Amino acid sequence: MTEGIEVLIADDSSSDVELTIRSLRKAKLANRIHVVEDGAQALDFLFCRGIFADRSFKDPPRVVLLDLKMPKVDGIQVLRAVRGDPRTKLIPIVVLTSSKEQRDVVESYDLGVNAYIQKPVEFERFREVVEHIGMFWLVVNEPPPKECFGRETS
Amino acid sequence: MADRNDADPVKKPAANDAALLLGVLTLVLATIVSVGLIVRRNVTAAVESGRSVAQAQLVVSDLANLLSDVKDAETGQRGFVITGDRRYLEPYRASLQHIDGHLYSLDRSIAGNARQRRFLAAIAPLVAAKLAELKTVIAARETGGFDPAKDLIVSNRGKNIMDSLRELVNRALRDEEGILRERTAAKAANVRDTIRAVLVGGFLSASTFLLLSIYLRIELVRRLRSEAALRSANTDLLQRTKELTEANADLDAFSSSVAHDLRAPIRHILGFTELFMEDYAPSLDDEARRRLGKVQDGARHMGRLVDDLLNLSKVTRQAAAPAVVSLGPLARDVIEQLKTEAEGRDVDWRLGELFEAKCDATLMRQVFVNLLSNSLKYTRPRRRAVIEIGATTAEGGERAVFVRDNGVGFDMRYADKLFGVFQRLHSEREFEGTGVGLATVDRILRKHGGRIWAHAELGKGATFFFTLEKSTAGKGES
Repeated sequence: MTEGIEVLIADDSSSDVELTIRSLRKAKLANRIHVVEDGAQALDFLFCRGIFADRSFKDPPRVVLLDLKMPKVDGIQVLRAVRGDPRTKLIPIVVLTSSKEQRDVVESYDLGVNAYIQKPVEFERFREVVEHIGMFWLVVNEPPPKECFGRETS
Repeated sequence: MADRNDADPVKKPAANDAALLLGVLTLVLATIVSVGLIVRRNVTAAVESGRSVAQAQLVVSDLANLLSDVKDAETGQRGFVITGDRRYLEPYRASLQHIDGHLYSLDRSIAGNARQRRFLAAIAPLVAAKLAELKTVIAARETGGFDPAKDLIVSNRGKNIMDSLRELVNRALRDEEGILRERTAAKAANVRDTIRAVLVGGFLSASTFLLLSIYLRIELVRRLRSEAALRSANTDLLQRTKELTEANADLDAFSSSVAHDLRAPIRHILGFTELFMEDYAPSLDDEARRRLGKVQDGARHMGRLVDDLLNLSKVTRQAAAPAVVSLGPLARDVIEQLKTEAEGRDVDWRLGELFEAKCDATLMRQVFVNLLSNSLKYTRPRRRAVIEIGATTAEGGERAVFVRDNGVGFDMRYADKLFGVFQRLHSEREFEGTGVGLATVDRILRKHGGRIWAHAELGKGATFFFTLEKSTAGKGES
């Protein structure tokens, strides 16, 4: 049941995940959300392998909400892998993290992230931000056509 | 912390050493020159006395030879007188020639010597007389035969002359020999003197050099030791700096991870209490909501503290990027930014003419944000807030900026707590705040080499002054 996923959330904090999903749902934005709790699972999902072997490259999420600090494989490594492979490199990725460290921001943009957002502490604001993200990537933004995904060469 | 005994690297000024060296070298030079002069004088004297000794010896030998030749002439004459054989006149004539030669030689060697001239003046006529006598006797023998000659000899005239001559010559000889001995002794003394002078001079120079080299060696050792001390102090310093840099880096890593790790739980507290209130709204009465509100307040305050502290440490760590910044436009920019926050309130912003200063624009913006936000906050009870920013001159002559408001002010008795971390002069109930804002401003200004101070009157308002440069004249306000 991982077809037609619109939002992939990669975050090891179940609390943050819950708040995010609540915010998206409240804005009536996402029905099809999948959550992975570390970078390894995120990569399996996006590269259609492991327990997600039955997924298709031509069916990427409309946006990935990527936390940076995750166990096993962290956000930066996921970003690097996804951007480095022609089959996945066009997938929109938004880093949604607690960190505002210069180092993380620079490295993320260096690797070609679409947006970098620091999770607000104040819940109203957090909700607003997640709504904005959802509105933008799921409604406003024009996604890359499906043919762009899963190609061996770019 | 008194280690004055330890190598104080800057102990003896270089001027002292140079003067000492110069003095010593002058002394040595003077010694050498003096010795040189003494030697020259002595050598000249030695040469002179050598000459006069030689001359005296010549005179002595001439006189002796003269006498001897006169005797030979006499012998020749006697022989002829006795035998009548002309062959005895050979030595006589030969002697005559020698005598002439000696007299000539004496005349020449005596030269200008007055004493010797006197002798010669006495001897020469006697010699002439004697020779004349000899000639007379010989002539008598030749013409008259033995007897007339014998008579002449027996008259003792010749003998008397000879005796006088002999006596005079001997006297002259004794005299000359005396002079000779004197001169020889003088010459020996001269030589001794010269040697002594050279030895003393040499000894003085050598010992001076020795002392100087000992002194220099001591100095060198001292210098090397203080250099070594300096080097070791430097190494210590470098080590300390390295340790501090590492400690700072550790602190850096710690505080950033703290901030990151603290944000998430704060977010969860706020988020879930909010959701809780939303989802269970019907079951919650006012008191329940109030208490949940308190929970949220606590979490929010914690969040602000974390942010402010992180900011404070970043400000301390960060290297300032100084540039010439015009403070007026910067202040205006911050005012515009705060106007949205102050929406709905009556705020009279009075921005006077500020100046340009060499500073970090980002950090200075923060200074204005903190000070002006404070002014906004503490003027909230006022119907019309008046916030004035302008330039002035501090006690030490430095240029200063002031921010004055007509807010609630503070009690000057606690003024020294204003800039401490977490120090507040109002309760949380009266005005929210973390007590970090002014501490941050203080750090920023100190980083620029400036300072901040404030005056206030409870209930009337407060004025904050800050400078960005050191005083040109002594200490300003404390």
